[in-house]
Amino acid sequence: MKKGEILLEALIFLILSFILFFVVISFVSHMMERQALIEKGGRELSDLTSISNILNYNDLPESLLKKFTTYESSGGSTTYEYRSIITGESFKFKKGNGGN
Amino acid sequence: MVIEILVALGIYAIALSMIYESITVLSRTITSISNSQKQVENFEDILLYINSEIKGNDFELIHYNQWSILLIDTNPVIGYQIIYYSDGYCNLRRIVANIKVDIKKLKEGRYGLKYFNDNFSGFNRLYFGNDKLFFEMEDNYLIFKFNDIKTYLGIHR
Repeated sequence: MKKGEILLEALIFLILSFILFFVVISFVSHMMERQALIEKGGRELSDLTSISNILNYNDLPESLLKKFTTYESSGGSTTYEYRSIITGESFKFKKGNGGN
Repeated sequence: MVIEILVALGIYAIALSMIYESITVLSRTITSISNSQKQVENFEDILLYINSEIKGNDFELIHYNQWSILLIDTNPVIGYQIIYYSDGYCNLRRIVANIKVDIKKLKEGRYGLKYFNDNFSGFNRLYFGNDKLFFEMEDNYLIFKFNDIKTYLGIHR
């Protein structure tokens, strides 16, 4: 056996196991991100079900209104916007003077 | 030569521990993902099921010590009963009345478990596990809680 051959083999093995480690870590983080999105989807389903069950926007409880982005508009009315994290779609409604 | 072998063994040990670590991380992630996946699926199934039946109907919520019932005023009356076990497990089942039931009277009378066992049937189990399930009233809103996810199912007018 040549001098240094054992060391070389060991180093190659180390590099390969490094590569395996990085592949596993990137796979894991990808799966975690995907799962976080699925969990958010569950929460979004809960929000949308809540909003659709209450039917009248004037009856929406505070904790649900917090999930809307609000824009002050003229005449004292407020526009609420709900944007989906999953699909990016949004819907708006107006509340306040003359709006519903 | 001996030193070379010793150094090589050290490198092998590091590499093996890295492989071991990768495998444990992978198995841990797969377990946690499958648990969370199961939880999301359970939640969505239960929510969509109850939501389809409660929508637009009147309802009453009756609480007892070990269980609570959400009664939905359809013909026949449909109920969702959560039974709490002392070991932290919850059982959610759907029950259907065999007789004509007035849900307002049921609330006033506070009938016990025997009444529901005798006069309701179709005990389909929707969920059994150790996630925390609750029906609650918050002001006029009916809330379904699944762990920390809070869903408004309806409003008493």
